[in-house]
Amino acid sequence: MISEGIKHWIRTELFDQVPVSICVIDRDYDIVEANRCFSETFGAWHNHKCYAVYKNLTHHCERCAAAETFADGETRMREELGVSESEGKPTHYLVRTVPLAGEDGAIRYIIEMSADISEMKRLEQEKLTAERLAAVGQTVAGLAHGIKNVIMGLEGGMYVVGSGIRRNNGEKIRQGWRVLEENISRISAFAKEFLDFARGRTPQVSVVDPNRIAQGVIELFREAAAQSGVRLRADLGENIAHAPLDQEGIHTCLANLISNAIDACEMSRKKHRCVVLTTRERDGLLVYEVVDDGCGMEYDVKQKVFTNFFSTKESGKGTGLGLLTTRKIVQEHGGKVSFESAKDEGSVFRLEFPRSRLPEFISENRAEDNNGDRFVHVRADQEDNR
Amino acid sequence: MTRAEDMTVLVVDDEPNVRLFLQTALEDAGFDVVTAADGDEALEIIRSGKPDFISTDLVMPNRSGPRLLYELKRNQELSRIPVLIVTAHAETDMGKSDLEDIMADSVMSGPGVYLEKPVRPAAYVRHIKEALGIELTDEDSDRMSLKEQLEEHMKGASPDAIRKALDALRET
Repeated sequence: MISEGIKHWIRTELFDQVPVSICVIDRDYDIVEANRCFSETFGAWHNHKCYAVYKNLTHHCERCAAAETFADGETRMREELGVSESEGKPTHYLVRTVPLAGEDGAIRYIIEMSADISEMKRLEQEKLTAERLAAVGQTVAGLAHGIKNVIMGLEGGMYVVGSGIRRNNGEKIRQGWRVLEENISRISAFAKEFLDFARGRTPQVSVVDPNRIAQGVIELFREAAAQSGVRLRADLGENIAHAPLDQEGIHTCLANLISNAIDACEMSRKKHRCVVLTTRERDGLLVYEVVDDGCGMEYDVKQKVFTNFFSTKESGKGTGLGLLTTRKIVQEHGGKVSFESAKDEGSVFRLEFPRSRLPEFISENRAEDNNGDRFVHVRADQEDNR
Repeated sequence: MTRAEDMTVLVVDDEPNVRLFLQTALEDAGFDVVTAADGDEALEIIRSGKPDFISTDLVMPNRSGPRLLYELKRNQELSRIPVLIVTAHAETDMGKSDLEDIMADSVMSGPGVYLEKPVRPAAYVRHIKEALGIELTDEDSDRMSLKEQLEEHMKGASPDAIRKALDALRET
């Protein structure tokens, strides 16, 4: 049983003791009450508008949680960027707006509670950076391995040509020569991959329609699929908002997956073979999915799909880098690649992008405009679609 | 005296180029050579006519190297065929644990050794000749200086192996 003394303390003191900034605003966005943490964080607030105190703005925010709560009486939780008085640098807040209704049911005030989550944001960012670096590291190790294979090919080709000359065997010389040619073209393929990786290191992010990238890839492969006797179809989700993505990177990923799916269908003996590219969005998760009913993979192969230079395709057809590249690009977007596959039944490859982890799109113009302003950050989801 | 001319070597590798290379090297040394592109094909060949020696890759589609070796091991007669593993994956995630399992398994007569790609033809032929008890010729020597030989060893050695070697030296 809590004593009366403690209850009194909770009623009178708690407001000032919690390490969360709390203020009460009226319908004119004037702050009418605030706790100690709020004063310490944002400074003077008497007779100030909340947006002026939080963000140094002269008008209320574009997407104002308080205005929405005033309108429908629903509690809201939202991430915001503010400027703390003491430190003067942009700070991430998790803001909760709760309506305070009078006896008549009318909402005259709103409580805003803001918890500083900058440290969490920073750690999250660090983790993302670490993941991206790890992806680059794996890739470089993989490329080194690929070069080893090419050297083996060149040495082998040279040996076979030499042997053919020694034994005066024209067929051997031709065979060895072919090996040399093949491995030299492999070197140019690797050089191209190297360049792709180098360029992909900082994704060129712009706010784009995820479905449009999907359509582009479908167009690209329509002819090839038809030639292979494979039906290629897109099943694009509706109401998928634009997202900050590296358009070329995502295009590369989808092209890799669809190319693989068509190859898998070619390796299957089924009569009607089909590849479907699906897009959908749920709970802030953007998903691309490529489904095929091709040859599928058995356990051994499944263990190795993301391993560098592993390919089950006939020689010369795959570099064994496609899925590795795909995973690297997806990781750079804060997303992940997963798959399911059954031998002779087909495979599903899935790219999942949590919107909250997508790279930030900072418009050059907006960042410049705001240089004088202390609020320099433009959230991607508030940016106009362009 | 055993002669290379009387011996048949089965070369298993999913890469046609590697097959061609190893086949040519062995034929130049006098061996009869048959080739297979994966474990399944290898088993068919082995069942129709037992080779005297098997050289196999580790990481291949269909029946990969470890599974081929497992199948051989289950058959008492086949398990006596000496095996040499030629792999590019001795130190990669793909092959390392497989290889360690195989090397630790003493039930089989082979493989006692593995060669890491890229392999030198002379070293490759020498290993197989030694395993089969065939006399080495001048051509089988690598024509490498001691320094080159050392460098060759160092290239293949993992930090782990070097550490173990140093520990062993300290103990003596």
